[in-house]
Amino acid sequence: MIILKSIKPDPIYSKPTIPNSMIWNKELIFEKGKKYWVRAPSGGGKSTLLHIIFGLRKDYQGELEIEGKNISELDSDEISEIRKNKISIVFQNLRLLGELTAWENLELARSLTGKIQEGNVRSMASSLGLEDLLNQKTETMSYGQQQRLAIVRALSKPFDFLLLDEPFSHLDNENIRRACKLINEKLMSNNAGLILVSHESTYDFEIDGEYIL
Amino acid sequence: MIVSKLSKGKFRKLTYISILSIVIGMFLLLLSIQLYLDWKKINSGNEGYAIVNKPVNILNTLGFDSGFNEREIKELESQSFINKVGVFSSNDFRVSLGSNRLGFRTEAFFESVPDDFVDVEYYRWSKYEDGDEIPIILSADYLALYNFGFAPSQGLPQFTAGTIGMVKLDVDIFGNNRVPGKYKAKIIGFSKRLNSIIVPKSFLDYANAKHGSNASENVSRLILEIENPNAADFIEYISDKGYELNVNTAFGKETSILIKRAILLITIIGLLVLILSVLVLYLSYRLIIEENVEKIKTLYTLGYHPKSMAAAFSKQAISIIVISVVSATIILQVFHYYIAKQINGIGFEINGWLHPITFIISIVILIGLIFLGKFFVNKTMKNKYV
Repeated sequence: MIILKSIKPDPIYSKPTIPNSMIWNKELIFEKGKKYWVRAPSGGGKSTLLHIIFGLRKDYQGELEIEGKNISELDSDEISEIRKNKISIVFQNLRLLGELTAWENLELARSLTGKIQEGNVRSMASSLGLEDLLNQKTETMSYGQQQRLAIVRALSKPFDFLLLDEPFSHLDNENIRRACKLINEKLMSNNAGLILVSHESTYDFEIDGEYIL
Repeated sequence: MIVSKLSKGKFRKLTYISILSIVIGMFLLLLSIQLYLDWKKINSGNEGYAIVNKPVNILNTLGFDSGFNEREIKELESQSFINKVGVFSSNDFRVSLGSNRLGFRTEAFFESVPDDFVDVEYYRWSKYEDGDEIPIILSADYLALYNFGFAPSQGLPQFTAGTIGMVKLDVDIFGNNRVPGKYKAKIIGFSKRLNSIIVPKSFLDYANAKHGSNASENVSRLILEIENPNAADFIEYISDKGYELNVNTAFGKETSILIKRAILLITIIGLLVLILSVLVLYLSYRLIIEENVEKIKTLYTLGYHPKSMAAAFSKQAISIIVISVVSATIILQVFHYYIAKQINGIGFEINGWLHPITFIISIVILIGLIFLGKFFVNKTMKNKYV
């Protein structure tokens, strides 16, 4: 379970780096096995919320608990452990390593734990139409192809929660349908929770909860 | 995998430069240490010893003795800067040395000193008993004289210090109006302290009694064990007495100073190159880490531990250091083996293997560089993942 308690900007930071439109001082709860949709207009703080949950931002007050642990009390190794086994993410800006091939990017995630078989990763890549692109350098791929690759990378390691930050912005309907199918399968097999950040729609996900920023 | 994926292109060039410079620096540093140890070994054995004699004058030419009497020897023994006095005894018979197999024979002489003044391994210096092979110690200078003077002129083979011990010598003694004698002898070592042909005192006493004229012994030379042969009070005393002093060193004083300075210079150059090479290695890692900050952050978001990423970089840095230091040590070993071979050929005796101290210093530097490498990488990686 992920719980955000009374999150608000930290006054020691000179600039208000957390958007004002966030729902401060409220309690947000995300349960494992359930799907949540966080929506807001552009610039409304959707990505900021995911970054706080993922431990990338520390410029806030309040408490963030992941499975009973206060994230601000964890050291960098413990945060790494959560990212390695508990939470997976597809960033809006993808954060792929452009100099590496598509497969090397996937292998970087898969080899972290080795819990997902190589064949499974290849099969996931094939289901999103990436089978012929695996040996291609990532920086030469289109943004849509990179977006699909980032989704497969996020699924190539174990997780209890999957965070998706505008994951389908450059995909056509067919690819969105395939991606949603694959993600739903993985969520089910992992009994994992989903936090989908999108200002458009819930796509093919059956949402259990919704937060509007 | 992570590091190898990140370290491409110019970093590889920097890696090769680092390896090469560490090899050169380590080689020079270890070479200077080994040279110093070799020089000390060559020069050892005669430190703290001096040989004195009375100057030869016209009376000696006319047949008068010029040796030391008992009172003079006692006076020398009583001096605070002299620890021990040893008497050179000489043969009271004519002797010739030769080898029928090699086809040479030469007139010779024998001298002896008390056993505790002998600078070869004691186990090779046995007490003589009738019928034994006579162990002989030659001055180290004689081997060079033989190899580069006598042997070429006589068409005889040259010898190293090691191989000459395999030659059996025939010793013929022609007694002074007494019985002649035939003996076997073997050269068991070369002395840097005793500039003579030395046989055990037990043999010389035995042979003088058997083949000599029983004339009273003329002590022409003394060997002194002293704290410092260059001490002013010692030099002044010897000078006042009118004795001649022979401090036998492998290298002259000026040469020794020159050698010491050359070794010091090599040490400084080696240290400088080593420091610069470590700096190049550090800058290489700093460069690769700085250039890959975003990638490192991405890996961190995937779940890679900062420590494991630092460890991956450290592992590569340590590999570079280990390869470089081991290579430098191996190259030095090969180099030293050939140098030792050359030096042994001219009468000095140094081991072809590197001195254990050189190996120990190599290991100590290796461990130091490993810690330094890890420190550099951890320092640079710190906070790069946030």
